[in-house]
Amino acid sequence: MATIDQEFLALVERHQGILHKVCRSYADNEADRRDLMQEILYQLWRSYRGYDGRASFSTWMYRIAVNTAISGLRKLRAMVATDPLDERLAAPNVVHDELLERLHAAIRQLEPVQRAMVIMFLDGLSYREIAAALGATENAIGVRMHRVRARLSELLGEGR
Amino acid sequence: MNDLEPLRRLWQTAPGALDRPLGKEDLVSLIEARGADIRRSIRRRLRRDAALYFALVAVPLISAFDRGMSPRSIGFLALMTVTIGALGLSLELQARRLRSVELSRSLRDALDETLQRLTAAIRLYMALYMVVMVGFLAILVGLAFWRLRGQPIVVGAAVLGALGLVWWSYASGRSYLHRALGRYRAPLEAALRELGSVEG
Repeated sequence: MATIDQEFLALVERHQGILHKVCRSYADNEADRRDLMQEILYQLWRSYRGYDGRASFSTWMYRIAVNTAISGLRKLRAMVATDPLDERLAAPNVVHDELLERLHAAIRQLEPVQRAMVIMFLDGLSYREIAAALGATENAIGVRMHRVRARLSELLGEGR
Repeated sequence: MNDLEPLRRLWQTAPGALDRPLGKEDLVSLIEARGADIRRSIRRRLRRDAALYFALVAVPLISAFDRGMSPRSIGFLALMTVTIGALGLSLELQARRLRSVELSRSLRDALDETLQRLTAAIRLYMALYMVVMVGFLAILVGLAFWRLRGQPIVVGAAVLGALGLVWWSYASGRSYLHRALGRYRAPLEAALRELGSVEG
């Protein structure tokens, strides 16, 4: 395996919150979350050579993380035993915040593309950045976000 | 979007899912472990394919040894080996194409490309599977013709049996591919439809 670039590692380390948020939004259980986390990291490393800096690293990272989560490519491979080192990603380390838990639970109930829109929006990406990441128009994202916001409020209301 | 502002603040200040962030060593270990997983799964599939193809070559190989090696039987075996090697290589290339979908583009492009490559892989798997099965059955029918040429009823039964096996191969191949690969199409198609409705 080729050497992993230190600059790449520093960037991923700095923006790793994105990884955790995407994994929690798209994976239902710990094993799946570990698998998704590892696959996203691998895809980030594989794609880093093509990163040209036109978008911010966090936007680029969101794009690959969401594409990996939704495309389901990782599931196309025969599943193999997970390495024990992944245990650091297991439940005991999870930070529990009641509202955050409810927010994650509500997000997981949305459709996959809606989830991507919401998590990018919550993390401060502009409509233009979200539209570019998804391959939609900015206007369409604006209209759809209006509906998604209502759906999210409804889901959070149900959880009370 | 004012009603989402508190959630936005919460989301942006949340440390992610872990109270102990992953360090560089953790990241390297995770990436390397995934790379090793992929290499392991490739080796396992190559071994499985090789075993299947070896089993297919074994019948004519034993038959050739039984009758003594002639230039014709050696040529036939070489042709079979080259054909089977080419089939294995095509499958490996298709699997590689599927693994190397460019994920740094938009979600729509990534899903489109994944779906196209998945469809191409399913078609190629099916075509190659049928080529191998029909070729294998043609050899068996040819041998039956050669050895039972005085018994037209038995030869007719062998031909009918072979046709039945071709149909069964087609049905079982389709069913296997649907289970193995086809079920991954549904979520991709659903996500593309959802993206389409975003525009709609």
